[in-house]
Amino acid sequence: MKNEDVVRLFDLYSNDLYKFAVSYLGSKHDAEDVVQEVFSKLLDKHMFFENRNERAYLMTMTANKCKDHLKSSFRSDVDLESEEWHLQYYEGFTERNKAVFDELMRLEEQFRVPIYLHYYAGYSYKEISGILKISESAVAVRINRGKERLRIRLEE
Amino acid sequence: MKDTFDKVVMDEEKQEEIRAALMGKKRAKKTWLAPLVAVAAAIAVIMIVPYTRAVVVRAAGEILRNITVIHNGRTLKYTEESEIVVDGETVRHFTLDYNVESGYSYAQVKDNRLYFVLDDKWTDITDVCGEDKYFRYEEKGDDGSKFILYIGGTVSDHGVMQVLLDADGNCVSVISNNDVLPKWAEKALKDDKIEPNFVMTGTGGNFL
Repeated sequence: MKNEDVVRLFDLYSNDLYKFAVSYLGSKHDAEDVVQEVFSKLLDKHMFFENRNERAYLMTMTANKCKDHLKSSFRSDVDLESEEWHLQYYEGFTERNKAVFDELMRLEEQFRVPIYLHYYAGYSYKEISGILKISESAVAVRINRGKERLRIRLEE
Repeated sequence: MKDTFDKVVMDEEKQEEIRAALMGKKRAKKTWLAPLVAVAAAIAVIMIVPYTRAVVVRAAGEILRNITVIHNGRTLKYTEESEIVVDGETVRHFTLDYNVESGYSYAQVKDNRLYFVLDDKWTDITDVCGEDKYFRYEEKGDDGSKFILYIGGTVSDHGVMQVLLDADGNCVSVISNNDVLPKWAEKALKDDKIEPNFVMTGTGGNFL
């Protein structure tokens, strides 16, 4: 793709992909790396997007890059309990924001990511199934179980 | 949750840095740094056994010199070959000028389908490709050398790999635009019993 086309997509979707990568990886720096890798990779590809497809396609690329990152030995060490980790996100957060964010990020990745995609990014179970390459029934199970765990933790 | 994640945004400074990198990234000219280990090893072992290695290294230069045009409007021109010493090891250094501005890749995605594109002929290969499956295309040169092109992976995460064999079937080079050879590429090499002398990956494979 041409540089200017990639930059247009970057301006449109970089924040969506960044939030998704944060929800996936729990690390601001890893999320930034993933976003940069996704858009850099587009420069090496020749493709035509229909508007309705491009966001889902980029989300799938981001999910794949996040999976690779989790397997990578270069991944930043993320300690979800550390104060330092919390502080990198807390700017502008209310107490409620902090509680929701902390508890969501403490959920296991298999629950956290589908919950994020459904309740924040607004994807249907079918769309999440396509992005994460898991069955729709697995999406439903993970969202329900994750939601229940989140509810219990927030009530405590 | 919406209110919470609305506040998670990438630093503006980082965004600017990435945007600038995307605008400034150029792929007009690449230097092909050939077999760092393989050539040095070949030179070191010539007097002991495998003369075939030396043949392969020489064939690389001969074949590369003959390449002037590749498909899909991309041109590739051999400009230089020399032996240099890097960290005490002798390496063969090929420089190729190629023009990608007017050309396009062998693998393209359209309407969520993966295509093999060769000089404006589009072949839908979505169903034959996968994480461990690939599409294969082969061409034979006048000098008996062979170019084998493999495309594998999924629509959203696919790659291209090109193998160059000399007339005797020795592997001259493997070029891949994946940073790390994926499963399908490993399988393709194994299926065709290809033993690479060196593999050029990542940005080096951009002209595929």
